[in-house]
Amino acid sequence: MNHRNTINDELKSLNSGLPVGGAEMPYSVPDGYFDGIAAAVMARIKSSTLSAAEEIAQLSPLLAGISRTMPYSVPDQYFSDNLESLYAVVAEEPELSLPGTAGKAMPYTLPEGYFEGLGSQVIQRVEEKPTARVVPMAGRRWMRWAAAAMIGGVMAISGIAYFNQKPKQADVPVSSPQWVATKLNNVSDKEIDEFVRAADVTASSSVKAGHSAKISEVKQLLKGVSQKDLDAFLDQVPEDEELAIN
Amino acid sequence: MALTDRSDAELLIQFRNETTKESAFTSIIKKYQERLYWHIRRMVVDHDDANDVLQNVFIRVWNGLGNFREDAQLYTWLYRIATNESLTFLEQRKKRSAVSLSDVESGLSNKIKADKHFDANKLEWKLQLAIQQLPEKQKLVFLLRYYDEMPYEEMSRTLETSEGALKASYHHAVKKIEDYIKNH
Repeated sequence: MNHRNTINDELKSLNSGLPVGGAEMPYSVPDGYFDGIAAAVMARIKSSTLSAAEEIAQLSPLLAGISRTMPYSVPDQYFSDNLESLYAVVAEEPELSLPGTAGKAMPYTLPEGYFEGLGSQVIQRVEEKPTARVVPMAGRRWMRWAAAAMIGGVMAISGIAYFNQKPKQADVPVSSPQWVATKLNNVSDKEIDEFVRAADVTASSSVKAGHSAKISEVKQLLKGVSQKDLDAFLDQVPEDEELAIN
Repeated sequence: MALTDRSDAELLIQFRNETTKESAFTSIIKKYQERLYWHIRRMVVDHDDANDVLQNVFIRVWNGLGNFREDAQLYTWLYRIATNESLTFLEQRKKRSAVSLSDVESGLSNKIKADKHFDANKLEWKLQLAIQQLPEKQKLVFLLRYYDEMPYEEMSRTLETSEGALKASYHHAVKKIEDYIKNH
């Protein structure tokens, strides 16, 4: 009980959601299980020490009473003849050989005097052996030069291609002539003509509007100036400036 | 001393000696052939099939006994070979005839019934029919325990199964066979 209280106090201190006061197992146990388990274990211990005959007598008197003699028939002299037939089968096996009979003799044949003459044949072949052909390393110098030239050519072409490449659009400042030219590459001539025409109309309109605004301003400024004074001024101004003023 | 009276250890030593290998092999065959034969015959039923399997077993013994590590009894090793050869034979029969293993079992039941001495009223024949209804492993356990009275410890080494599982299997097999005999 004290132990249970300690556990409950501990659960409370931890603010645990676990049930306080003893957890109950949700499993069920067959009736009388614990009462009979001791006897079951003892029976099992005893059965482990039983002989096969005692065991079957305990398990099934019916089976224990049946004769163990097999009802199958066996050909006469089977077991005594088995040895001979077994040897016949064993002898037929190519990988088997009974000791003292076939031995380990190889079935292959050799030319007469093979081993006697083998040594002299080998020596003869060794003496007649031509010297190895010497391949001069200089003969391969042209290959080295060719390889070097090829590598150098590849590098040169790569370098030229790298430095001559057009700048990327990202490197060209926007509205720069190069940028405009790049953009105009994608615009057709017809579209350009239309744009120019529209731009001329717009531009002449704005010039005219600007021109009329200037005249009214001049008139406002010359409001108190007489015509006589104006003519006298104009006589003094050169023709070019006069045109510019007008 | 008769050849069959020699212990397994002595026979192994003699088998590994080239001069006595043949006589040792002969002794091993004479000592174990009947027990192995009946163990195989109970599995495959037919005598000719049992004969084929038995000869395969002894050929394997001839080839493998030199490397036998003696970490188990010779008898256990022989039984394991005989068991595996019997199961292999039944498996090959199943593949050859493209039938399920249960059909192989019913084929074995038919072979029992086809025996010239078969008598359906005799308990011994009913027992054989009942045995053929068992699953392969359970059949093996029952045969080794009921007929050969093999200790569970040795059976565990032979079949490479725990003793507890073997006991449970045997008890279930006995129950099934009893039910079969009572109902047929």
